[in-house]
Amino acid sequence: MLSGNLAEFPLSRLLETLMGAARGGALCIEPPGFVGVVYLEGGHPVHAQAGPLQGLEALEFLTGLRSAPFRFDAEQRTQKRSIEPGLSTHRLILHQFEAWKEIDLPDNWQLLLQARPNQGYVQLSPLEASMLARVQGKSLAQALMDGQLSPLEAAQVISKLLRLGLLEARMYPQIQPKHLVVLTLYGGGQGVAAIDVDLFTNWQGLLGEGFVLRVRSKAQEVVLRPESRFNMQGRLGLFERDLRQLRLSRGVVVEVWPEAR
Amino acid sequence: MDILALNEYLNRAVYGEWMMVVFILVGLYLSLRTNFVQFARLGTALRETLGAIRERFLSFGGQITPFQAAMVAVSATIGTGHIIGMVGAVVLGGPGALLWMWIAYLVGMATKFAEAVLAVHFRRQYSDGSVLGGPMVYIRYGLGSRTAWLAALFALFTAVAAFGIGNLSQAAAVGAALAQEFDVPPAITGLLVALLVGVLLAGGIRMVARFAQMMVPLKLVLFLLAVLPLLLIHLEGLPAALALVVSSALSFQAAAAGAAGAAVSLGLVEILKAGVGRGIFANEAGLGSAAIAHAQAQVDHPVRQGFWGLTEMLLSLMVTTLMALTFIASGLWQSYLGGDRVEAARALFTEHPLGVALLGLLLAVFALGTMVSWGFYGEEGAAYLFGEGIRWPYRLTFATFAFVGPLGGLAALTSVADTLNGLMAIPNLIALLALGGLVGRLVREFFSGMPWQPPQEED
Repeated sequence: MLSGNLAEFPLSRLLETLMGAARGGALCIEPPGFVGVVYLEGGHPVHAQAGPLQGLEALEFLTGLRSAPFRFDAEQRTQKRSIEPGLSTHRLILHQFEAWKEIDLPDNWQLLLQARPNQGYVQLSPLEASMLARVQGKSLAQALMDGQLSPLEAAQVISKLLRLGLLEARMYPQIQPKHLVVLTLYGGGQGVAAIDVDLFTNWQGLLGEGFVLRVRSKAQEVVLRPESRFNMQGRLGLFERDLRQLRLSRGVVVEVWPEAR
Repeated sequence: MDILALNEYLNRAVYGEWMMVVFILVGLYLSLRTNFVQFARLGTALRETLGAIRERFLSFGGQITPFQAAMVAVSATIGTGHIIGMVGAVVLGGPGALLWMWIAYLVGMATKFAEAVLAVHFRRQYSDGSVLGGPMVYIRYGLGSRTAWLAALFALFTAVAAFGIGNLSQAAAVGAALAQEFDVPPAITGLLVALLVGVLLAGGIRMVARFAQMMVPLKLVLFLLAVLPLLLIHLEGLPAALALVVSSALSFQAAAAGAAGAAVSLGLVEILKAGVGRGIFANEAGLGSAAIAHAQAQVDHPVRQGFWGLTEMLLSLMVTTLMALTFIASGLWQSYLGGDRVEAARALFTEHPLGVALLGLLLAVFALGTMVSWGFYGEEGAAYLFGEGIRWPYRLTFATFAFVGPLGGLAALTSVADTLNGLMAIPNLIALLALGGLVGRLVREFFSGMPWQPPQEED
């Protein structure tokens, strides 16, 4: 079984090698977060799948990967056909590789995209503006698999937004949920979860300016707007209206963790 | 005028009727500023305190929990005055004194609430997590540097008064109770009390709080064990006692009452003085002492700690009321009208299935709790005045006095300390008047969901 990493053995060379040897089987590409597979028959791709994408779109997506573990399994076959084998497909794949070279994206597609406040005036096309809104909080891979645009088109727009500083791609560590005790906040507020100022600052440092809090109780799970307050160590302040709606009461322990918005 | 004469003059003034009027007026003012928080938000206060009792050991990250802070204050407040003092109020003012005591308590609830709120709002927090707070701190930082002398006066009064009301008087009560009921030599009692108080104070606020959180439930259980059987014995007299409390609130006349069985006539002033006096001094609302304990609580908003102040008052009210009603229902008050309050209390407890010894035990436990909390109050006052270095000398001196207390003597010092205890109220009441608006604002902010913004520290 052939295996390695695209960082050392790029996909273009890998496909050329398999084509040259007229091999059949499944080329599995396994970066964190999703799995991509390219099925080959006689060295030609016949079917590809990456997340929700299939066929040439999936192949287009996978050709952009610069680093990911891969393995080729000659035993694994499929009856599915989403790619027409032939010279035109070969040319298209070559074109995709060339196009990806022009795009400057981080190698790690697990990075989360986050909008950044911009100081100056920037003119965006409707397509770019809609992409900016759509990709917030998604990983780069998710944004490229968005489906509204082809992966290459999406990559071009995201690359521009990153270059303009309107988006940032950040690595978010795995944040363990905190067990906090519910405390009643009085007044007419709603949709707010108050946490201690130190915890707020800590999570803000990990996730950036805009993050939300996911609160999980026995009954349900909700997303609330975070607010920092003094001396709330170990507590989660919720307004009375939210407490009623969530069927929670003071003193109940809930799981809380932040999520990039 | 010598010092003792001056002390006597001042003592009469600070515990006199005019001072009582000031206490009541300040309480009314604070009630107005807080929209009568003690009535309007009583349900919230109970939900936030007794309703959240399962969170009693759950800290907000500070040294002690809000519950523990309240227990330190309750442990100081519910002392021998709730037993002997309450019997004394009925002996002096008749059953009607109880009604005036209730009114004083209801007004004083706003005062205690305001003290707890201000104590948390203005307290100083240090990098090691320790906290310094109380009236001296809210006078200094709430009223500004020009009133630093007033803050220092409060701290001085507290540091010295702790040796009287919080030490010699209590230690003497423990010594007398244990000697009378259990034949324990005063020197042994003194030694044990000094050791206990010394060890607890040496452990700092955490140790004092842990002691208080055990002591207060013990006090309440012991109190109920002492009073409920007596109340059951005199249950038939309870409706009449309640009627008498109302009917004799304005004036009281008896053809034959008191030890001599002579005609007794009590005017409104005497009844008021006895009732309001107990309603003010039994719960310490206005003295500012409890604020020193409340300041230690780490809590997200000062108003949340203020609710513990209200609950503290309710607990104190429950104890004094049960004590007074039991005494009135027993009918013994008629024989002791104008007489000795200790004898009256002993007469009441002779009917108890466990005998007068229970009164001795009750008084000893009540006094011990009060001593430890007051030791902490005094230490905080001294630390404010002289810095952290004074803590150990103060603790050692306090423990030494605790040894001397049961042996008797030092009457002059006890008397001066008692006057200083009363004087503590003056700087505190001035600050409460000046900062009443701030308390009202904090209450409004709390109930509109706004987060607390601590004042900028200027040190």
